[in-house]
Amino acid sequence: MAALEATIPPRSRLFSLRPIGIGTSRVESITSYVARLAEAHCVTVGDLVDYLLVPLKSGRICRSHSYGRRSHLDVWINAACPNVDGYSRLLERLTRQEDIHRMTLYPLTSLMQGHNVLRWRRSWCPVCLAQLNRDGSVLYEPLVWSVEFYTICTVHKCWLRETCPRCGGFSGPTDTNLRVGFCPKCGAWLGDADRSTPSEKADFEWWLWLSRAMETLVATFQLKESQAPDRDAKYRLIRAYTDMYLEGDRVKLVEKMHCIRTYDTSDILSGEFNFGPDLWLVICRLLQLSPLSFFTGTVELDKEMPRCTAEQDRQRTCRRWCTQK
Amino acid sequence: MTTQNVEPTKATESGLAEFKGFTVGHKHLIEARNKLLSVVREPGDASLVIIFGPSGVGKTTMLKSVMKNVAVHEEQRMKDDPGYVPITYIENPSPERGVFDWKDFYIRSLQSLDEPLIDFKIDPHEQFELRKRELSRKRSEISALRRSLENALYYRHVQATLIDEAQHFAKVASSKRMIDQLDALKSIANHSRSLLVLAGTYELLPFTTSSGQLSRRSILIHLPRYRVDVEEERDAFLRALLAFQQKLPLPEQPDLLRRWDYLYTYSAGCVGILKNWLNRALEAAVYEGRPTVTDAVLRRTAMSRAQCMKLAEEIHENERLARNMMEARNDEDLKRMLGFPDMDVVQDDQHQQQSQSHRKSSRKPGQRKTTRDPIGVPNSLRPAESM
Repeated sequence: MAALEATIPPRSRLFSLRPIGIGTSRVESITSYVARLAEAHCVTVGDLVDYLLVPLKSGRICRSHSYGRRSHLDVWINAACPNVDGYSRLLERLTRQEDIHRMTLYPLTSLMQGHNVLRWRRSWCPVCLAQLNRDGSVLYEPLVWSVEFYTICTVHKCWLRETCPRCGGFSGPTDTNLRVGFCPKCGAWLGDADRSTPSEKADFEWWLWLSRAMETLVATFQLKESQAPDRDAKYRLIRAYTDMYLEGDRVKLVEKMHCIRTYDTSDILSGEFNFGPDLWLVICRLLQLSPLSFFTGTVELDKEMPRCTAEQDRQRTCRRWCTQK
Repeated sequence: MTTQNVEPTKATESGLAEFKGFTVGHKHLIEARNKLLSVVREPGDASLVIIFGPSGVGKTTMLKSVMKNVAVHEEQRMKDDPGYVPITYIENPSPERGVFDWKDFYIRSLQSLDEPLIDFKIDPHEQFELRKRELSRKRSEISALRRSLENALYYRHVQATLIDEAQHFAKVASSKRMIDQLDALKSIANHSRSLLVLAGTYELLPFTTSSGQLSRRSILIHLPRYRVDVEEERDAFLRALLAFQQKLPLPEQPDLLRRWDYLYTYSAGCVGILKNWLNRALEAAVYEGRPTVTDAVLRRTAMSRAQCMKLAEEIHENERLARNMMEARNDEDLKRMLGFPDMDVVQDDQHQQQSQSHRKSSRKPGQRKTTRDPIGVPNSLRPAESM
């Protein structure tokens, strides 16, 4: 039997499933890939993670199934965190697929700082799932569904859902019984061809623009693994914008960024503050800049950005995440 | 006869190993292998291949040869697809309690594919119907293992699954269960899109005729022994014997052809049995310091006469059954089954005459026979019909 085994060269430990959407804005999330792997191997996601991935990564077997540890894993796998690189490389080794590291937000490390960028709860577009099922395509969940700012499906123009239509439960990205397209609590099918009614127009347009912006970022930095986003680009951008459109007048800049009051605009210009994605999104909106320009350093106005009132801007300035360097 | 003190033989451990690993491509083996390879490459509608023959005829050797051939042929595709497994081999163990153990078979099959987490398998379709506590108990149940095997064969794109000692599938409690066995195998083949190749003894033959649907989708390959009464087959056996003789790593090449009838008799014409015998004889000669394989060594390492007689009886009986099964019907019977109109008239009369000759008449004198009167024009008066 050993001689027969030697006839076939070593194969991948796990099925070499092809990741979906590499290089596009609809790239599959790594947690969706893990769920597909688990289903193909006829094991639960929990068992695959606890008894294969974690032991191989950390060298020890998980002896408990605490939600706390699993929730950290949720973040590690999809998030922009150093650990995610370890898991994605591990999966690449096990499946011999080379693009799994593109299925996380790791390339956006400097932008997506912290957990509040990712959804703690799994979300999905029911119409997307229904369409994939109808077309006979492989069911999967795009990475953008994991980003908190992505709330509207840009394809079907409907809100993402977070709770099961049957049991009302919600789940995390690596829930033990996770299965793409199904509720991990009750097994209900999550697809629905009927689109949900959008909210009042102004809000809907704003969130749609934001969702598109997230897709653009995911698609752009997915392929720039060797070129991490320039952390200082956004500061140079604001200075360039001020010089280009405001004649270098910082007072006018302060007027434009009227809802940002907790710190000095000059500190932003000097690069003293390392602000997170929620703040730069607000600045983007205020200055009518394309979000992509924030990370390339090139001034590029976004003419499709929906207009909002000052009051709406103030309301949308939610968590301002500014930390001093 | 005492062993003479002679110079140590030149046959070393490596020579022994080399001879043990040596296989000769004899006529029946090559024909069966080529037929199997053509089916593996182009299975068409076939989902099962059944290879049957006497024990020791060379089925395992043939399977190994096919496996190497396919692996070489698919080398480039394996480089392009690191998950691809073109062909896999499973040896079916003999069931300990006399009845075939599916769970053991599935586990061995999954191990042959290096499947991870075999102890944790679940059936995804039952995953949400069972409560969590029940799910933990249901792990690695038969249905879950079977689905996992189907998935493994499907996702690895396995072209053919070679199952050796497949006659153990037939070890079931009743004939109805045998049909269930076949249905399970057929289902695995359908879901996984992998050709199942069952290699075993003549006990596999009932598999081929128990289901019409299975008959249509299975291909039979007979790997028989060499018959001494057929000149062509006798010559093929002698060529194989000569090849073994020339490969023996001994200072003096023995003249095995001179003793061919003895070697044929005690190997029943099966090249596999002959090879194993020569392996034992070579080992005995080497460790006894003999320069060649003598008649005494051959006699000492041969199967006993009783064993050979038992083997010959089994072969004789099974070959007869095989001939009956594979050539059971002639064309007339086949046409009659398919409803050719002419066949009913002729065959009914003949059948009745035969049955009456064997049956005691229970009619009283003068009582009319309770049979159909002939109808239509007799066949002899009809014009000949074209095919």
